[in-house]
Amino acid sequence: MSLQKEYDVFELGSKLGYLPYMIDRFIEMLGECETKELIKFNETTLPQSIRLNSLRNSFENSERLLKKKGIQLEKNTEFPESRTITKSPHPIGATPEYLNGFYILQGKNSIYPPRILDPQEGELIGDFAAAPGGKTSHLAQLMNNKGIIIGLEISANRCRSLKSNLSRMGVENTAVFKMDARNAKDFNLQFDKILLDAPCSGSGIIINDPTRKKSKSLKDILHYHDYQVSLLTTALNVLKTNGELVYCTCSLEPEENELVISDILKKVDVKLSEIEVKGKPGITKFLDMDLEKNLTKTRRLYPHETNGEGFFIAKLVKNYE
Amino acid sequence: MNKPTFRIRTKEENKLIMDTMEADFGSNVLVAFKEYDFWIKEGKVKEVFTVPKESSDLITKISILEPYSAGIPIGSILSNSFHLEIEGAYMISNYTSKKITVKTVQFLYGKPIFKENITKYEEDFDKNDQIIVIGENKLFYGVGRAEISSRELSSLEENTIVIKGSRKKPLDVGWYLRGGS
Repeated sequence: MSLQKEYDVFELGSKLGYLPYMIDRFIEMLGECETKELIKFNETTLPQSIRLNSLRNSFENSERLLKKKGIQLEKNTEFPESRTITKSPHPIGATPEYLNGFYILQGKNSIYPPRILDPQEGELIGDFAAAPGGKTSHLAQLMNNKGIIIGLEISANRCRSLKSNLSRMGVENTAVFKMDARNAKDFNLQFDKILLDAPCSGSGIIINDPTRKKSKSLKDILHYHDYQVSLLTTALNVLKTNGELVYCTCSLEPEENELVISDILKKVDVKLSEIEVKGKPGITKFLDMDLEKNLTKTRRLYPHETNGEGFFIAKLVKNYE
Repeated sequence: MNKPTFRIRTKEENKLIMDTMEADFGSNVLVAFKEYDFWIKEGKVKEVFTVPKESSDLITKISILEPYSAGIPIGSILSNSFHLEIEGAYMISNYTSKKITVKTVQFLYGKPIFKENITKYEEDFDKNDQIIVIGENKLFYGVGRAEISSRELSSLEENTIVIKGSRKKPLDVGWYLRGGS
């Protein structure tokens, strides 16, 4: 379908296969003009990006080997481990260098949550929805495999892929538990930091999964909201005083993002922390709701603005004593 | 109370693992495991994990919950024999000269290594020896068992299999694409 013709935004949404409620909500968040930009952008393909893995090889050596194969890379100015593939004569997920764990295919924006959490060597880190392991292995890399990561994953199949990815990437400091993160108190541990990349409806990654245009209802989104609030409440319970937690989703729905944080701010003694990420500040007005002003400290990464997957990111600091 | 399925190795298992690696690859390789404990996941086979001491202590402390995995899986114990697998071989690859270098990626597809694929071997090997397989640019490919000794190499015809591949076992890094996830 040609996107050159100037369609009305609802007509365009319908032609591109979106459920009407989604377009309504995008307009509420972005306005008509930007909604068009977003849904048009979702019809394109994101450039492939990789994260170089210093647990297996130096960035320089990995880059040299990939260049030797004719794979062209572009550096990310923000993070030394991130590269965009600008040209590759080989499938990037099947080279011997990939199989040696020198890099992992990782969306450009999913670099942010581990970087914002900023785990340190020697800390006890919780990764409460760990599979498939892109962010877990990034945490281990930032910790130089020192300290401990407890990775939780509820699905047995996803545990299998998590274990495989962590092995390939040379991650030593992680123990994986097949369990519902809502039972994390059973560990009787207090974590220094926690990453909660919560299960979500995925409306930020329609560019990678067009089935999402039709696959989730508003009821599904509300269901995710309850689950996310429950996960986040548990996570904060097992976080040390003054400990830090990064909450993120690849959803653009306020119910899965700002409204989750808003619920938490009302019932748990935590504060939102500023994060240095380009992107739009979190929403403080949605439909008939007025939300806390400090939700502007959270960040929304829209695909059309960042040339990457859609993300919502918030950083919370526990403040009990 | 049920027997735990993820537990620290027994003394006997520790000896079996260390003795097997030393016999197959030389005593230098034991250095690679100095800062780790071996843990065992019970199942059809006993899966062996190497876990840093710090993680090992924590897992011991939280014994009420059993890990699905921890550290790096390095091999398995079956019928009282230890079998080294991909990541165990990767860990020891810099500490042994029981290595051959090949000029083909076929081994990564579970296929055999033929005489003409070998560009270098660092140390003589005998039939049935375990050997680390290295590819171009010194990339680690996996581990395999010699079908012939290195002394026979010069007298053999091309297409003679030196190391068999295995599509089903986690012996080469191509396994990560075939069935490892």
